[in-house]
Amino acid sequence: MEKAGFPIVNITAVPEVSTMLGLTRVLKGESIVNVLGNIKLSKEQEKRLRRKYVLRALEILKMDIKEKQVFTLEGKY
Amino acid sequence: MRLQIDQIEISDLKIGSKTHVSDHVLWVDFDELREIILQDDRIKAVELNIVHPGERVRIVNVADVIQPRCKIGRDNEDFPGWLGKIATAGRGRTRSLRGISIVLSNRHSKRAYSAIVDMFGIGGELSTYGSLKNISIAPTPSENAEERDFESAVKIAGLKTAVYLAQAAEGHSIDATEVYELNTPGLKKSNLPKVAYYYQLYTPQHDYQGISDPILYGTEVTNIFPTLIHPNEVLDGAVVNAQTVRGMETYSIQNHPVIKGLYKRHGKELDFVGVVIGVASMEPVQRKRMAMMAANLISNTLGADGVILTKVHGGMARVDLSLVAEACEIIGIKTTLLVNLGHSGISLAEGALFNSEYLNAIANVGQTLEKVRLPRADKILGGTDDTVIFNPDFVQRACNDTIEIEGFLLAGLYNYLGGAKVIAVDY
Amino acid sequence: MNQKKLRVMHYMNQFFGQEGHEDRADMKFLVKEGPVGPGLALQKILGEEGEIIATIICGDNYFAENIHKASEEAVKLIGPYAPNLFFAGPAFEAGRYGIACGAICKIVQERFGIPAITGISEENPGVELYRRDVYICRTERSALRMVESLSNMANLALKLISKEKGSKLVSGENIGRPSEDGYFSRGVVKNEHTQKATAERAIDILLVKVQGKPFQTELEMVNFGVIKPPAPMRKNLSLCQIALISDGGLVPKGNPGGLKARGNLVWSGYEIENFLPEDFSSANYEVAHTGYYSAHVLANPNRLVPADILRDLEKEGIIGKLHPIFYSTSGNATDYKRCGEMGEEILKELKNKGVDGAILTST
Repeated sequence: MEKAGFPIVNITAVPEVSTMLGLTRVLKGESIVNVLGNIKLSKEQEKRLRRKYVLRALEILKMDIKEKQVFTLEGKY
Repeated sequence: MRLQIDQIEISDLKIGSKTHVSDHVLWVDFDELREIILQDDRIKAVELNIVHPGERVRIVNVADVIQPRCKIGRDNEDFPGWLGKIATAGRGRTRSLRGISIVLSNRHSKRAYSAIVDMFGIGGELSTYGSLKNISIAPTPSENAEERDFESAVKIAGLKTAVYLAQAAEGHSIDATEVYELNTPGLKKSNLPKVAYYYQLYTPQHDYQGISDPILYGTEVTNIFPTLIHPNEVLDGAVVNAQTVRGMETYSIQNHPVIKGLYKRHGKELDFVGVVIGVASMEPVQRKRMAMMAANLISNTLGADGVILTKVHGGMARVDLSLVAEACEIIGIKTTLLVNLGHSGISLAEGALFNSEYLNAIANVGQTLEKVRLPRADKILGGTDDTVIFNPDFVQRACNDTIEIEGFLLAGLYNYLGGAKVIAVDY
Repeated sequence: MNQKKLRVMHYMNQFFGQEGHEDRADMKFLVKEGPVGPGLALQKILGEEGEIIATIICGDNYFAENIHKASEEAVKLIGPYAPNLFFAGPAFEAGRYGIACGAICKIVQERFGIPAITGISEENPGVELYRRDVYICRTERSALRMVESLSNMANLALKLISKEKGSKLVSGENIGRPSEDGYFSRGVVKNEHTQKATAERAIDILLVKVQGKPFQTELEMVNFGVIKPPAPMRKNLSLCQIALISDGGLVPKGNPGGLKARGNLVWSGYEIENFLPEDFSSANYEVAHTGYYSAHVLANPNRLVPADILRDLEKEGIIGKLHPIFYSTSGNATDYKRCGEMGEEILKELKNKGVDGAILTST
């Protein structure tokens, strides 16, 4: 989809694989079994965390990227 | 630390009125063995069978394969943490029986898939266990035995049997003596390259019910930081296989090919400086952290020039291993990894799942998903004719005219520790 | 030992079939008895092992412009001859001819279950299209070494037919590696017996590497290439339609789309309002993916497919719209090329529906 020029962001807990494949917009997720969740948090806290991820993903979709990157919630991987 | 393993060659395995070894024949008193296994009140009953190569028998629901071993002159130190008290494995003397193995089945396993052992046909040829004389053990849980608890009981039954059989050979002549001695702090200076071994013990990615299997001195290892262990501990029962056989069994750990291989060349072509154990991580930052710490141990504490790395079954395990290797290479330690191909139908390179200029030295343990077609068995042990044998595409049962399984589920065919004489090649 | 002579058929284009040049590239199928053109050399090479009973000829354009139709026609013509071995070409660097050879060998193999061999040069598109399906012998670009190429093809064919047990682990076939037997890699990985166990080979490799000497790895890396980063979503976020995609294998209970838990090749689209409503129930889902522990996702599928957040953002006017279809696939030990195809297929739908950007969640 990226090769066709479509803006897509991959949220994954194994960013190395995505990067190896050449993906340009990658956002590091929480964990493999729970990429946008965290069982240690309460339901509300978890939802807030997930919201942060989604907003970050949307932010990345609006970013002009020059070369492939892996992002985290706060900054770069 | 010095470990001596006294190997006794067993030429035949038979049922008898008294358990003993005479003239290399092991006679087993099934009543006595059954009694010992049933001491565990999680087990209601147990099926015991002896099988010989060539018999058209298929053992299913295989949860482990174990070599009979016992400590000599050390009371209650067999498989410490499982059977024995907490004690250091890998010192003193251990008796080992060659030519036979214990094939352990959990016929009530609810896990997605389990391994098989065929004693005949192409399965018998391909699997190392198909050419041994084996004792098949299949316990049945008591009514109130909890599922995971029963899995532990099954493992313990297997380990008890291992000790019981090895103890029966007391006084018998010894066919071969293996000595494993390594004293890293006291290593003399030499010009030989210093080689370490990174042993990825486990990955929690497939954890059944989200719970990790215990494997090190009787406990689970998920989330441990990389640490050091003496190679003798691995050879002598400190590490047992997890509760599923996937290209690895306790038997292969007891005969750890990388450790034995490094010992063989120690002082001749290399200096074997030690073993670092680690566990694959589920979380990206933790993965980097552990990889860094493992590399640091290998470099700063062991002073290695080179390191061999092995993994367990799993894609994430592969990614994790590659990060450890990369971390080592970046600080100047040369690496060679043992990895499998986990895809079928695509080339070696496409199936590699990692891509780094540092990972340029790889030995491959085979394409573990390549399917094997096995012929009809006359008898099923460890299950019934209807036991489902896992195939990703269709449902098949143990007694079908032919069954097709992925190689890693035929116990003894592939080995992640590098024990099999196999290689996957692009065709 | 072959008791009977093999019944061999040979495909070639209009030029080698001695029917004409580019002027006859449109010619339809024609079957001639016995060997023709290069077939005479092939017959000599086969000697007593086989007899070329017929030659099937076709124009390069006729075939390449409608591969499917032409392949089916060929099958109808070949069937009555009941060959047990088939050759095509060699095509050398001729592109349309190479494609025709690959296609006809593929269908002959499939329909008649007999070995079908051809010879093509490396950069010919026929190679990349068909090497996974068919044994394609490597030839040079020019047709100068015709006899050598035919010999290579014949040797490979006879090996395939021979019943000797080889070193392959599972099938015991007698075929050597691509470099040994002169054919293009089939893109298949096979296991072989070795003298030394992997552990020993690994230590051998490390000892050489540590000395700084050149060593041989048993697994080469592939470079997946550089992708130019797509331009960002240009519209104001509050006007954007965002789609959710996942390869974590989340499907409705019963897996109606038939996603495979490993080696999956398909994707499914689900109306997200029905699939993952606000008041979802874990009982309505399953995960078709054996590569991760799925309980957390099943307990709350939003952890994999964040529909809850996107719905909120839509209500709040932060995004324009959550695309009503969620695209689900399973990415466990999946063929890399097929993944690319699935991406293209899904993208088609997104473009049709005016989706501006997507979030793909992976496990």
